[in-house]
Amino acid sequence: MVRFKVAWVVIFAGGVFGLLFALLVKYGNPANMGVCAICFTRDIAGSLGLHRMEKLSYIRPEIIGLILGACIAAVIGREFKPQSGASPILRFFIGLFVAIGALVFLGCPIRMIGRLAGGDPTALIGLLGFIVGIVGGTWLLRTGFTFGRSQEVNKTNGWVMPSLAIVLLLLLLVSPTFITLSATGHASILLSLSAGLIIGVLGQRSRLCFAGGLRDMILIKDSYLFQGIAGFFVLCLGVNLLLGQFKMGAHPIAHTDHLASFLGMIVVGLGSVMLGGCPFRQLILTGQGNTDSGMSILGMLVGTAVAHNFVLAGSPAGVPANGIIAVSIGIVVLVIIGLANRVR
Amino acid sequence: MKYVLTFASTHFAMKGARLLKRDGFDVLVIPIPRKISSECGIAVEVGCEDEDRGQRTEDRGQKTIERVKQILEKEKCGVTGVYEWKDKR
Repeated sequence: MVRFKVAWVVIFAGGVFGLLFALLVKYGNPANMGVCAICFTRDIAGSLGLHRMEKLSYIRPEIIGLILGACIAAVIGREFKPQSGASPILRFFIGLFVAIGALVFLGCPIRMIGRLAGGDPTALIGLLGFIVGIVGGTWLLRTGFTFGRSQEVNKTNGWVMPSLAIVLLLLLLVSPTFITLSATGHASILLSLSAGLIIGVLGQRSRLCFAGGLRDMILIKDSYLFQGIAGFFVLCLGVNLLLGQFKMGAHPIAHTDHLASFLGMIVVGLGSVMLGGCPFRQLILTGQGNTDSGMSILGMLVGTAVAHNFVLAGSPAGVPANGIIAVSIGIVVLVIIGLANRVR
Repeated sequence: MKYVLTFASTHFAMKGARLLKRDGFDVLVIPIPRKISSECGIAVEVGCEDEDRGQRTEDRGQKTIERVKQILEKEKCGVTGVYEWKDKR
């Protein structure tokens, strides 16, 4: 029996996130992609010249806002505690595979729920894969998986990723010639940055996590974090209906290669449980000084570049065979890492 | 009176809960309360033991937590914090 006690803090955080997700689509972000932790990281990678897809190159202010919002909330709440040392190199590679999995499916867990709230039924297969991945991850946790204990480290470590976020913001505002800013679908910088900051603050205060919600339901039968996902879905769906953005059966910026979607999201679910949180949660933890999560984010940044440079990523036209091979390899690699890092 | 224990990892929290349950403690695995940590991992809530009801609650609590620590240290469960807990969450 799942424990249920209404948790307004996380419902509010998820609800505001769902509302802003839908509004960002209304004001210029791509369809069903108000925020996507992986797609937007991919756009940043393109902007910095890490891949060659010019149409997917933009320094997304939402990602900057998420990190800085979480950082501000953590500093004010005295929770800015730089930690490091729990298998950072493994986290880097798990982050890399999570990014590939998400780009094969075309969305992180946030966008997966956002796609469902926009009427895209193809995201259901992704959700199924995500749940399978999380079930696999909780099995690993039950049987002893751990990345070991992280240690408190000098505060300068914790400031690295928030500082990088500020550098990215300056690059976006100054727009030097060596930066590519050619993606067409984006809301204004002010709106995107403000939305990111708000979501970052709320995410840090509420502990909202799209993988943690399902993990806790399965592992400890607790619905606290899941209520945040429900809040996100309901508000996003409601605002989409009000704004005429809900189109049942349509699947913009998505494909119908269900096997690829299923396998891709298994990698995302499994990897997220191993990392201790979904890609969104990794951004929040990075903002509060966790450099292990910073390594996961850097792995994701490189993973998005690999996905496009090696022609692994999906597109509305479908998923290349390379992509299906890559996510299959990803599942095997993650399982090996999981089994090899178990203690009794 | 209740206590919340935090651990170095989810695995240790699960293992700790299993060991304490085996030894007859009133145990509940919960998400780490927001007031304790900004992590989204899990923690273990332990109820005060019922024996020696004649003692003050604080003394019973102290006795409970000493036993809990002894068990978990022996099994190397990596406890990172012990908190007195009055709220539900």
